[in-house]
Amino acid sequence: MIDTLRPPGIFDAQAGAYKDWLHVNLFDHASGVVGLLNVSLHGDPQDERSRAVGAALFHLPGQGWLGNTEVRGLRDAGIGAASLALERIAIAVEPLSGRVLASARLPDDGLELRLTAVAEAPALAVDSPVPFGAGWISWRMVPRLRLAAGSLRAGDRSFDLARASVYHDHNWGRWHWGDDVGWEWGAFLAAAPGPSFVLSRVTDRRHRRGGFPSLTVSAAGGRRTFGGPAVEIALDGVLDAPLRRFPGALAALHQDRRSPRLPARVRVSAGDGFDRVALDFRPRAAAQLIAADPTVPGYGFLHELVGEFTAAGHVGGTDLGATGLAVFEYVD
Amino acid sequence: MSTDSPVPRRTLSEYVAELVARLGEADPAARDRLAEVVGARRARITLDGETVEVAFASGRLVVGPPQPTGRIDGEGATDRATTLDLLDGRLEVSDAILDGLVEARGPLEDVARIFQAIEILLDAAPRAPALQALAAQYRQDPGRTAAARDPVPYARRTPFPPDGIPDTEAAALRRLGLLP
Repeated sequence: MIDTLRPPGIFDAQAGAYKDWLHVNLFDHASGVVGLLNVSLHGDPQDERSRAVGAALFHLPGQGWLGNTEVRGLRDAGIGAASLALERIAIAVEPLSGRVLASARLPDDGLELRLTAVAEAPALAVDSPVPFGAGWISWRMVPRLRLAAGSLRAGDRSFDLARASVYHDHNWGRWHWGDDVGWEWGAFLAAAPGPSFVLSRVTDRRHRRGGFPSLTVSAAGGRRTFGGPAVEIALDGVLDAPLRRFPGALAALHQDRRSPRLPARVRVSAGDGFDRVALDFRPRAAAQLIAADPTVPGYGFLHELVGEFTAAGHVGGTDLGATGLAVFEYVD
Repeated sequence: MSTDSPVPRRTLSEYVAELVARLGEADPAARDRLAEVVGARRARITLDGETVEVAFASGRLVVGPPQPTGRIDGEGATDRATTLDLLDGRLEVSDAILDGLVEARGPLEDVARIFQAIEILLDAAPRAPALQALAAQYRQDPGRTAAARDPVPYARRTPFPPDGIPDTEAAALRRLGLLP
């Protein structure tokens, strides 16, 4: 399936609300390092205020976060058919094969990354617009990619990525940051050949009202997606960990968001009478990415929680049990 | 990628003047709010030992060297390393104040107005590429020392109050579900 960026046409009345987003997660099962890399476009490409934003954040267990964000005008970004390249952070998807290349070059922030990853299974796509506040959102995701080549230097350490797993997704749509929207999303990967789990649910900004959640399980027994009332999400407790916030200028502006109530535990259960899964995620750290709308006053807060998970269940006639690394994203 | 002209060398006065001028071009209403919030107050700003005084006179920005005998309503001081750490999200404003890296002095109302003026600038910046460009130029200003720091993993937290929360207060906060 061919994947490309989805810029607005010239007669698109919602062009100002345009978003396009390439995202990669790296899970190094040997060291416990969890990395997030994304490059995104915000606003009408014809508007000079529109921005391209890159983020490269890696959490080192027992140490903390390394990395930073990069904000550029769209004219300063290299935008290809399915690639977004800023000066220091870039992601490219080969449209036909789905091969993903990503790099981050942030020496002042102690981070150097290059990776090439190959999809191990076809992408899952929600190409039709899903209502999202006053706008809409669509996505496609590859729950697990095999790392074909990669190098990571974080702080004063180089990491052997032989046991690393990679996740990739691409989101696009029309919404303004600050709209009454939010989401809960998570990628939970055991070391290969173990299972992977991808959770998603769109919500309102306060997470009081939510669409039906979806949990996709990829395991030895096959790929299953549980949806609707078959999936339950429970957010428990309050995470007590230092919060790294980006970009710093917007963190300074939003002091009221310095101590958000983020869960200390996320439990997901899914079952439809044939298959069942129970997943338990314990975050160890969190970062807050503050997204500013470039055309209307408004902000979105993307909280990235990283940590470990356990899962057990029965899918496709096969029992499964897994431990691994995860990212859970809570957006409001 | 952009091929910008060389980054100019600017004084603190020039940065302050540029900030307000660019805000006025990008968001005239925000610039008017800035002038209204500041009112007739006069502030003294120090960055890396360079000090200027700032005020609005008949709605027009006046920025210049400190006047030894002049009236001052509030003062703020910090340094380049702190400014860059704030911009890079390595340091929270509240931690910077608690750690003495940012100083703000004056009557409560006047200091609050200084921070309100800064908030107006920060809030306008995401929709004002010219302000973002000015921040980038400050970072690369050839007249200012390069940012030199160890890229250590971020895991800081400055406690407040420094001695912790009293037991009774902690119990009440916990009962209300306001503590981790």
